[in-house]
Formats: sequence, C-alpha cells, structure tokens
Amino acid sequence: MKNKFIFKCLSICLVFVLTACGKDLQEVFDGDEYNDPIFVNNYYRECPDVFESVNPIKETLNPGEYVRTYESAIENYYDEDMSRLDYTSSYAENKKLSLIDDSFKIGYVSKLFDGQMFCNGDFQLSRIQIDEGGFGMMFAKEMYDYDYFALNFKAAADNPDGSHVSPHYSHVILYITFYMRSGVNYNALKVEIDLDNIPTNMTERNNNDTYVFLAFKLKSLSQSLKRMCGIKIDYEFKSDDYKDKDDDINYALMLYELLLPNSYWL
Amino acid sequence: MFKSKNKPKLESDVSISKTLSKYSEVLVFFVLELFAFLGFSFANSFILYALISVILFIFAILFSYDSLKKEKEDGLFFLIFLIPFFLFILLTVCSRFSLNQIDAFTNVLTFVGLLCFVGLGYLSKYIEKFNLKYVFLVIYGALFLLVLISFIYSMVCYIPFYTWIYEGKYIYYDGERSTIYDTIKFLMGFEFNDVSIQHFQLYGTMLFSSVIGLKYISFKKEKKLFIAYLCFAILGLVSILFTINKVNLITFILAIGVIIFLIFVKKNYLALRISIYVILGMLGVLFIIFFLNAQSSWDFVKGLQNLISSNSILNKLFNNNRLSIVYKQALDGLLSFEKIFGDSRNIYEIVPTGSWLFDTMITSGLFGAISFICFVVFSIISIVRYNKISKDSELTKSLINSFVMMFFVYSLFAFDMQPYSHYLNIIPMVQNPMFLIVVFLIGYTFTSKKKLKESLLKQDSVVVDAIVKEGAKETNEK
Repeated sequence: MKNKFIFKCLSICLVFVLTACGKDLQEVFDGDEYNDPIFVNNYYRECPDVFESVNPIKETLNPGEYVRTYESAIENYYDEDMSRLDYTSSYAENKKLSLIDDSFKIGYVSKLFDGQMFCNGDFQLSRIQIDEGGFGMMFAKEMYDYDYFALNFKAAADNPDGSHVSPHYSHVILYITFYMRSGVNYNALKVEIDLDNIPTNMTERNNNDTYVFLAFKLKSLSQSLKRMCGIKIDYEFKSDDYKDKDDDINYALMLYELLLPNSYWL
Repeated sequence: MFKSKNKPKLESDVSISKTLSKYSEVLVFFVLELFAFLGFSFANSFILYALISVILFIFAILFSYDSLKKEKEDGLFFLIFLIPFFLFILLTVCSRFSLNQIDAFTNVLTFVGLLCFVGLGYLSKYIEKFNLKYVFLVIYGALFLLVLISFIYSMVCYIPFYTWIYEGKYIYYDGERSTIYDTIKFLMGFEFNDVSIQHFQLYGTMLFSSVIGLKYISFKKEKKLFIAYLCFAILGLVSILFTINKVNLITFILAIGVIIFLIFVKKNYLALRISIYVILGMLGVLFIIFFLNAQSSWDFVKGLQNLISSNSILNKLFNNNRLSIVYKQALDGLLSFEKIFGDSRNIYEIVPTGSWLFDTMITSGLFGAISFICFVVFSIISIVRYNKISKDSELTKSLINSFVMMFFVYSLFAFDMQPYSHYLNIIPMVQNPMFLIVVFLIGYTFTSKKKLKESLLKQDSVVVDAIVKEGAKETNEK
C-alpha cells in the first residue's frame, strides 16, 4: 500500500518533469553579454544555421522605392499627423511588433521590437550592434499579411584604443533577407539598398539627423512575403572618411527598431 | 388593542426569510460560484469579486433576516468587532497611496466590497444549507486547477528546479533584461502572464494548506474526498518544491511549521495561547528595534544604530539582508507627513516589502496598519473561541485554521503586491483573492465572548445534568 502510494506520487512528479521543455530557456545570458565597454565585444552575430542553405533571390531597391527619413515615412506610409520624431513619439509605440504579437517579446532581439527607437542612455542595452556578417533570426510565427518595412538605425565607429571617432557620415550597402516557409524548405528574398550619408557617431539629438529611418513597401517587392518566418540583416561596408584612412577602426551598424506595421501573424 | 400571543399568523406576517428559505440553495450556489472565482483568481479581477459580494451580501441579509433579529446582540458585537477592520479599510482607501495610485471607483469598491465579504461570512452561518465543507472543496478545487494549469505551462517554458539552476542568469523580455529565478508563468483570466515566484507560491502554499484535512477525513468512509484532498496537497507541495528558490525556502519551512503546529497544538488551547503571546511579544520587540534603527533623521537613536551596525550579527539581522533593507525603507520616516497616511511617493519610487505588515504601512499608513494588526489579533481570538464552541466538523475547523494561518504566515514574509514581472502594477493585499477568502472566513468564525460563555455554560450544564442523572440512577439502583 505504502509503496503503491509512493509510486503514484513519483508518477505525478514524473508527468511534470516530462512536460519540461525549457521553451523560454533557449537563450540565457550571464548578464553582461553585448554590454561591454570594449566595442568589438558587442557584435551580435547569432544566425540560424538553416539560413546558410537557402539561396535567396536578389532585388535591388533604388532611391524612390524606399524612404530614409521619418518624415517621409510618415508622409508615405503612415496616415497620422506626426509632426516630430522624438522620444515621446507614439509612432513606434503604436506600431511595434511586440504589440502585434507577444512572441516578439521573447529573446535578445526583442530589443528591436519594443518600440524604443532611440538610445535613451542605456547604450548597449537598447540596441543591437552588428558587423558586416550581420545577424539573423527565426520568428515564432509566420507573416500572412503586411504593409511596409521600417528599420531605425545609425552607425558607430571606434578606434582600436577605445576612443571614439569624430562624427561623420559613412556609406554601406544594406542587405535585408526575408525567409519564407515553403513546405519543409525556405524561399528567400534578399533586398539590397545602397545607403550613403549614414550618420556615424553623431551626438544624440533625438531627431532625424542622427538616425536613418529606412522604410519601403513590402507589396511592391518582386516576391510575396507571405509565410515569412525569418529575417537576416547584414551589410557591406563601402566607404568612410576615417576608416578609409585607418583600416583598424571598428565599424558597426546600431539597430534600434524594426517595424512591420499593420502585419498579421499566425 | 391587545396583542394576542396565540393570534394565528396571517400570510403577510410570514417573514421574508422564510419565504426565501426555499431558494437558499440558489444563494449557496452563487456563494460557491464566488469562491470558485476567487480560488481561480479570475484575472485578479477585484472589481468582479467586489460587485458579486455586494449583491450576495444584500441577498444574504434577506435570507438571514429572521436569525439576525433573534441574534441582535451578537450582531452588535460583530459590528464592534469590525471597528478596527472598518478603520483599516477606511484609512486604506483614503490613504495618500490609494488616492495617488488607485482610481476612485476601485477605492469605493474596495471599501464596500471588503465590508460585504466580512459581512457575507458572518451571515452565511445563518443561511440554510450553507456548509463550509463545500466552500473549501470549491476553493481548493479552483486553486488546484489554477496551480495545475500555471504549473504545467511553467514547466513547458522552464524546467524543474530552474529557480536554483538558473540563479544569476538572464533572459530578454520585451527588450529588457530579466532574471529567470524569480519569474514564473501564471494564468490570469484567459492568458498567461509572467509573475513573481512569491505570487505563484502564495497559491501553491494555500493549496498545500489543505493537507491538514487528511487528518480528519477517513480514507475508508470518504475515499473520494480523501483522494481529492490528497491531490490538492500533493500538487501544492510539488508546485512549491519544483519552483523553490532561496527566498521561498524559508517561507516553505514556515508553512510546514504551521501545519505541524496545527496538528500538535490543536487541542491544547493553553499552549496555543502561550505560543501566540510569545510570538507576538517577540515580533513586537523586533518591530520596535527595526523601527528605531530605520529612522535616518532621528539623532537620538544614533547610539542604537551605531551599536547595531558595529555588531556583525546584529548588523546582518537589522541592516544587511534582503528583508531588512526593504523593511527599513518602509519604516524610515513613517511618522512624517509623506508616509503617515500612506506612502505618497510615485509608484516608481515605492519598493514593496514582501510582507503584509510593512506593505500595509505603505498602502494604509501607520494608523491603518495598527488597525489591521488589531483586527488580526481580534480575529485570532475569535477563531480560537470558534474552535472551542462551534458545532462544525473538525475538518471544517482545521481547514479554517490552516487557511487563515497559512495566509498570514506566508504573507508576512513573501507577499508580493507587485506580482507582474515585466509591468509596474501594484495590487495591494486588500485586492488579493486569497485575502478576500480569509476575510470571509474571519466573518464566518466570529464568536463573541458572551456566546462563548453561554455555550460553555450550556456544555457545563449538560455535563452536570448527565452527572446528576447518573447519580440519581445509582441511588435508585441502591
């Protein structure tokens, strides 16, 4: 009788043990990752392995097919009257991905979906810093309807000794690759945008001069993005007054917010 | 002109209670429904509980009108008993904390709702067919479901003992770095939320308090009931053990202590009384030292403060541990205008203490906290009296003792009035569903001193009668 009871109790415990998947423990940090005073230690380089086996279709966006300021994005894509880009702007708060679906709240990259478009003094805690290899991520859900894509970012450069390079502008080719599920495989569309005059090491002034607010219509792309379940952002460094002279200068894109306004996920 | 005692009753004379008595099952059903909501912590929707309690209270008055008329004096004693509670909730809803943080509608409902809960508890013993045994079954059943669903989902998201294994590790949630060891998934209404472990374990601990019932249920006679209570207790225990961390380990040991205490001191009221006096005395002395040590602007206590800080053990006890740091913050400047009527600071500046004793100082101010302590002491006395004279089953009595005591003991060290891990949203104790159940039980168990004396006299006279009868029998036989 006693043994039977103990066996039953242990069986109940076993049920709970078996349910344990550790779903939320896939990405665990010790506390100080990507938040180092040394610039090069903060590159976020995570990318799903599956992306490497996919051969994407390439598409280049020319000026006119995208906008790169907040005001023009508002004018072209967003129908509310927003006079100014500032910390109190409700634009990102209303359009952030974490508001569309709770799955965007989980993980390190949730920093891109939290509606915080600018550095508010948290530095590394508020942004994702990428090198030319970029980063990629899989979403928990698939995108079934969409409107436009927006990415708020700027650039930064540091001398090898840790001192900051003076404010200037740089030139990169930005690649945004969308991965769409197709059966057990993936289709991919790689969007290429040549961007010069990217504010680099500009003083925070909470306005458009210090950031690039890149936005483009998704429906005008050559491929449908239906069932999009992953994204990769990387770039090719082209030129920069300072780095051109000193190749040891460390360069990075600082991504603050990625928006897919009015999108629908399942 | 003259009233005849034998006058036949007209239809109009039949009281409303008697007319309604045939519907008492309906009222009892709705009371059980309310407890199912409370046990299930339905989205922490205090407004819903309060509104239902107001409606049920009105009906309970109608249903127990006759009994109330007969027990006028007892009702009066009950109202006197409620004075500290009345003061407590009045000072709570009028405190600077509530006026700053909580909207007027919720404040009014808090006041009315709490009074209705305690009143409903008092009246329910006069309602026909009301049996607390079923209320507990509903409460524990709902708690069981809540803890089971939340626990299974938490295990899906985490792993057993993750609170130990992942201590000092972080995950990112909504762009913010978040600790793992003190967060768990909890069902609130129709969605899961990340809440603190303390908040989850409050429900697990309350569920575990059902273990005392096993002592009074016969496995042979009531097999199903025994198995049900066994399941409640096991789930409560497993949910606590699987998610225990350093902070809650102490609380868990205390919870076990409560159960052992109730099992062994059940019939020894003198030991119970002495234990309560000793515990209260110790807490009182500790509190005074804590209070004086926390006053940063009082120069005349600097000597005491220096003495404490110069001694490593005293320093660890009063200044340098997780609990004392937050308690000191709550007590510092408690007599100043900013705090004496509730903490008037911004929600971002207020640090919840994790203890009902100190949290009430924040939410209700010093006088509110004193009123509440008085109410708790009176309630304990009333429950002791209830245990002596009530005709309720031993199972019911033990479950009441266990539930009320477990709540106050657990909440003294691990009550989290800021349960959400990622949002700043304060839910004070007065809005906590477990507290509302406790308030109901306190109302139910109210026993006046007069009733105690009457009942003891009755018991004595019964014993005397029995002795006299036996004596008479023996004489006759002789």
